[in-house]
Amino acid sequence: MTSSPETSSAESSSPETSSADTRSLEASSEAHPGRHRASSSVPVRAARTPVTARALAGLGLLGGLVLVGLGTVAVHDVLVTVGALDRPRWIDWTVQRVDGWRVSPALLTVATVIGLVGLLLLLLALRPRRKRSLRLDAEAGVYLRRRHLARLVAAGVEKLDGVDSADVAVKGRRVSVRARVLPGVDADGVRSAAETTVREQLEATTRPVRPRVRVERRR
Amino acid sequence: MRGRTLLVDRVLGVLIGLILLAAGAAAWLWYFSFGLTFDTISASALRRQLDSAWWPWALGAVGVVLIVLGLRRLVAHLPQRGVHALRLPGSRDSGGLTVVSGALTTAASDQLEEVAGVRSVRGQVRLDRRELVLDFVATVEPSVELRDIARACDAVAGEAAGMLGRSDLSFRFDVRVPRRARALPRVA
Repeated sequence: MTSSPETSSAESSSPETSSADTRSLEASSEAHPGRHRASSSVPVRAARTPVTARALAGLGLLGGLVLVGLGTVAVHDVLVTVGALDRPRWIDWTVQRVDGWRVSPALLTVATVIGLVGLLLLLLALRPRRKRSLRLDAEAGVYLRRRHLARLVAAGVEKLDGVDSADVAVKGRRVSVRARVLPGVDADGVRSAAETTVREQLEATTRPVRPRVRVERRR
Repeated sequence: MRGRTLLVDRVLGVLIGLILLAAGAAAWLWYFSFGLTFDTISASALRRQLDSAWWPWALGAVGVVLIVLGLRRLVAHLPQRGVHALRLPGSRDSGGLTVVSGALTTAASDQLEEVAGVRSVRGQVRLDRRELVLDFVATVEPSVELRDIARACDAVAGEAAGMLGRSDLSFRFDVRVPRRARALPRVA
């Protein structure tokens, strides 16, 4: 490492600890300059695969806001009841409005929307968390999101001679490449070169990813 | 985010979803007179309860509980603060050795940034699903070879693991690729 992390002694450790750690660090990197692992007895452990939980977290926030909102209504009505606030009670107002409701198409429409929102929440809550990244072949947990892999592959293909632009889509374990070549360029040669480029990049992932390359001639 | 927080989110989502779905379904049953045959909704019984002596007390208690639970939900979704310091093996009662997490991640990030094609790296030590994780986000140029990046990440992780000597520490590198490559200087 270029700079050593500052090692602090919590109580009465030796002031030489920091420099000793630095020395051992530098020594290990000099001894094995090209190897994956440093010469340590401690193995490198990969952290768990990152998973998305954005929708679920949104539900949690919504639930929190609903709980606080309902609680606020309740506390407001208590304060009105004990005379701390001089205004109508919200629950009474709501009950008065609901009292005497008759069945109607308008009510059915509103209820249908509410039911559909409930169904959507249920599906979001029960949906399994999705793995958004592909793991690279490394001891440490090295991950690459699918859309970032697409950018990387697109950049590699666009570098090829005769390629004007490239669109790449990564879905699951399939990589679809659409390369547009300039007029007069050998499309088969470009396809072959693009497949090689894509395969070389994808070899770094732990599980096989299937590439599919299409070449179009630019008009 | 903690696993338990997400589990509670899931349960809360299921509950709210079921309540709304049941309300919608009840309206349909009522509209088509399937099981629910009354003409109007009568809230007279509920209105009598609203005027009873126990109502404000019960309402107050429920309200406070709901606010506390709701605030706990909201606080649970605040971004997690990282682990500030790591205790090193060999610490004893007479003296403890700790490494400041920020300095460790900065040093490791600096090392990774030296690799060709790595634009920037930032790191943090944090607890993720009960695991102590040295978590890095590395932004690389679109022209890099993935194999080289994986190798460089392994080298950085290996050195950090060897230096810290803690077998409970795990590593994660989130490799990101920007939309555009960094503009290179023009030569006249």
